[in-house]
Formats: sequence, C-alpha cells, structure tokens
Amino acid sequence: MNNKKARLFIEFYKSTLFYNVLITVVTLLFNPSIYFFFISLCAVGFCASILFKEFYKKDQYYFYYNCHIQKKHLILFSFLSNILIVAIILIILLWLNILYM
Amino acid sequence: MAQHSLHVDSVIKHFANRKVLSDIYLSCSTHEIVAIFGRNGSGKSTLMKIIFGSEKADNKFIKVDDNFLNQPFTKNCGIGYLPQHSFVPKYLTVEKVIFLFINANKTDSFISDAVIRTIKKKKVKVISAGELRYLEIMLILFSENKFAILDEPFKGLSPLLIEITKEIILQQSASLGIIITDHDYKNVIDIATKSYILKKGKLSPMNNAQQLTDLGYLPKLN
Repeated sequence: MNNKKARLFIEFYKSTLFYNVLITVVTLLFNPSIYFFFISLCAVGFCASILFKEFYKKDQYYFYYNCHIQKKHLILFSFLSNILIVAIILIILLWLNILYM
Repeated sequence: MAQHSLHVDSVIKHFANRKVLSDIYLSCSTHEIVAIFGRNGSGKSTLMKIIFGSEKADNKFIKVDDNFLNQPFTKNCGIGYLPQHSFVPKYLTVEKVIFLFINANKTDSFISDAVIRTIKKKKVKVISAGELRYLEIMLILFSENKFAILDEPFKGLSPLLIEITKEIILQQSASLGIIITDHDYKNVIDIATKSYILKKGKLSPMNNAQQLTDLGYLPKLN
C-alpha cells in the first residue's frame, strides 16, 4: 500500500470513528460497562456508523473510488483497526490490573 | 504524449423489468472530448457509472488500451469519474483534500490556480456550491488518469467559471480522453469533438446539432 492510499484509509477510518464513538456512548447509557463499550465500538457503533454513511454520505465513496479503493476494503480496514485498538487497550488494562493487584 | 483508447460495447442494464441500456457502443481516445446527450432518466449517469465500474451491468465490455476491465476503478487503469452529486468530504479543508487526492508532484501547479488559491484554507462545507463543483472538476482532471468521465460538470457554476472550466477541459484534453454529459448543451457542443445521443437505451452517434431536435432532446421551435 502506498502512502497516498494509507492516508486515505486512515481518513476514512477517522470519519467512521466520530459516529461510532457517539453511538457507543449513547448505548453505554443502557449498559454502563467498559467491556460493553468495547463490544459496541467493534459491532453496534461500527455497523451504525457504516449504515449512516450508506444512507447520508454515499456519494463520498467516490472520493475513494477515484483513488482505486473499494468500499469493502475501506470497511474491512476500519473494522480491523477497531479490533486492534480495542485489543491494545484491553492488554494495557489487563497489564495494569496484574500490576496493581 | 502517449495515446490511449477506451472502448465500451455491449452494455446491457435493466432496472426491475425496464431495459435502461441495450445498444451501446462508445469509443474515446486521448485528445477527444466525447459528449453524451439524453433526456432526464435516459441512463446517461448509469452508463457513466458502468464505464467507471461503480455500477454493475447485466452485460458489458470495457477495454482500456489492450486491457479488458470488469471494474475499472479498482485497477489503476486511469479512469476518473466526476459524479453528478458532490463527492468530497465536507469536514476536510480544501488543502487537505488536495493533499489526499492529488499526487505530490502536481500539488504546486494545482494550488497555483486562481480559484483554488482563494479557497485552499477554507473547509469544504463553507465554500460555495460553484467553488465546490470547480474544485471537484479540477481534482478529476488533474489526477493521474488517462480518461475523465464528467457527469454534469457545469451544474451550479457561474458563467465565468463555466468559461474557465471549458478552457481547462480543453487544455487537459491534450493528455486525456474526456467523456462529458451536461444539460448545458451549448457549452458542451462548444468543446466536444464527438457527440452521441442516448435515447430508449440506444446510443447513436451525432453528426450535427440539428439531431438534438430531430431525436427529441430539444423541443421543436415553430
């Protein structure tokens, strides 16, 4: 992947993150737990943010198509990025837990 | 300058049970500006999306130079597409859009454009509809492409910006093949080197502007 494509993937991910975190915070009102927060970030919030884009920002995919990037690759990259970030936070939490037990 | 060719043939597309496109042959080469005219709903945008690869067709045959392509935009085969509706994310600044979209070696010449220079620090959501359309046309024309497909590029542009845009399209056609459709037919005819009219799913080559009236695109004046 060249630099230009990497920047575009990251930009798309950032654009999903705003709606994802927003929806995830709202779902926390019904189940205030750190683990539910992570599950929502990777599943409920993520799917809702992609659906939001599908209904209201569909034309913006042409920004990426014109740089030879497919929608399925953008979604997959964002999904895997969420999993990676959640995994890193969980490892840090686990490590802190072991450290201060 | 390298010479490239695009051939589109045997495109068939149905929406529900309605046949939208059925008898299509279109070719475009470097230096050519190919115009497509057609009434609203005749399938112009659908045809352009099929050529770009973002819309599926029941059948199609697309060839760039010697390469047959199923979904051209996924390959780096050099087709850019300006959709009818705005495609640039609104929360970005114009400068960031250029940084993301345009290759580094072309950024300076891109930013030196008089209109782009005045808006480059602004967020996309605050620039006018005409400035946004102009920015989008520039992005497509200045990308590393062999062909540019422009769907209603003049929509929302002021007469002055239309003239500037026509000039840029003509300049860029030195290294690009351009396919264009717009209901501002006079400005399109001004720059087109070859024209087609799309009616009842059939794409027919046009020999003169009178055919726009004969084939029912323009009203007959008594």
